[in-house]
Amino acid sequence: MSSSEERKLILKSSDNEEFVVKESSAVQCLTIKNLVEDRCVSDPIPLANVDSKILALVIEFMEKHAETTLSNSEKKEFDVEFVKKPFDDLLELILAANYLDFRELMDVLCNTCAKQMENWSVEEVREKFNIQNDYTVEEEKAARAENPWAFE
Amino acid sequence: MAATSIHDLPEDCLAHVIAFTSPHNACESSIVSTMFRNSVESDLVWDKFLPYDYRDIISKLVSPIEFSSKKDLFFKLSTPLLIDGGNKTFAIDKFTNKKCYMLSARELSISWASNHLCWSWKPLLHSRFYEGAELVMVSWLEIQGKINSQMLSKNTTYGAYLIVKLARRAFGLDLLPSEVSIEIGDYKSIGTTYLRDHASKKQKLEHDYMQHKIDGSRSGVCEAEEHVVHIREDGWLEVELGEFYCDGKDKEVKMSFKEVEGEHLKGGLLVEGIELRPKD
Repeated sequence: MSSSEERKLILKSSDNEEFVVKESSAVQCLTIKNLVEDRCVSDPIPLANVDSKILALVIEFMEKHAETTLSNSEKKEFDVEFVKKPFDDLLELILAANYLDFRELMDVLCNTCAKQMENWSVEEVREKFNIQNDYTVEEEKAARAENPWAFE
Repeated sequence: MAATSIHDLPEDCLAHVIAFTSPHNACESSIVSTMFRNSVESDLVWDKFLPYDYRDIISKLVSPIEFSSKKDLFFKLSTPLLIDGGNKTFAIDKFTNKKCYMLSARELSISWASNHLCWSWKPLLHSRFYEGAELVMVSWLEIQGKINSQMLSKNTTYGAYLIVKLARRAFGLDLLPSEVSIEIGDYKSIGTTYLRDHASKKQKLEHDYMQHKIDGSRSGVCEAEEHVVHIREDGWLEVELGEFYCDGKDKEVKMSFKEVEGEHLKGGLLVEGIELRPKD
């Protein structure tokens, strides 16, 4: 019997949109897997920290990676296209992947952001992450002195 | 204008991103902001940078090390440390995050090494090992080293270097070129070099050039290039034996230095060991 493969779950985004997904795809998210295993699945499962735009993307990735007919290189090709998004979207996807504990998605996203980050200046990193420099002059000197070899 | 959620990027998410950069990049990014610095310090990052078998490596250290964090451990492992009863050293090259080893003279196969008329074993000045080998006098000069490629970082091009010094009394070493070679699986590279005295005040500093001629066996595909015998920062000379690609499969790397064509006597070569490190 393959009834477990046909079992569906309903995920509800923070803005109240509902998405139907196969349970077998959704359990790639450990947060959801734990709910299923503990038999705590409500109908629908509310995901307070993920809006519909991001949830739709997560589900797209989730379903692609759950497809047993795809080879690893086909999945990698999909990943390459999937991450061609504005940096802000990647960061929002990281937050969602973290909240859902979706390791595979997290790794793909973090790797993408890291490779982009490697080419940026300190100022560009601040701009893209929308972070203020909260160091005092002395603190920054001390931080540089902690790892002098990185700044030679 | 970025969404407010980005301000809330937790430190561990940021650490997860930083873990995919490199040790160098991670340390550089610590000055972006105090949150970046905290993320860079996290064990999540340095656990990913450390070699996957670091626990195994630590168990082989001659002197146990203490560390306050994975970052602390990483940097302690980035200077050469004695392992395997003092016969080798291990270090992580912090720029490339790849493993480096030096095999001591005792780890090598040196022809006639057990004959005290040919070679003498003693502590050498400025050596990282307990003892090294000094060539008294021999006509058949042959030094070989071996290492299993699974000890090295995979998908990396390595260079192997014979680490030596020439004593003041050195003789016969530069009359004929020496042959250097590396063999791994189907791949073999062969080259030649002259061991010349760089330190002598009587001679001008000369550069030696090695011509690498590649024996075209089934998969060796290297261009012939010239190499320079190099004086290291620690005062030793390094003679490049060649380079090879480590694909991580279970293979033995054989490295060799020899001058066996000339029947004349040679002496005064001090051998520290053979170093393996990633090529730039």
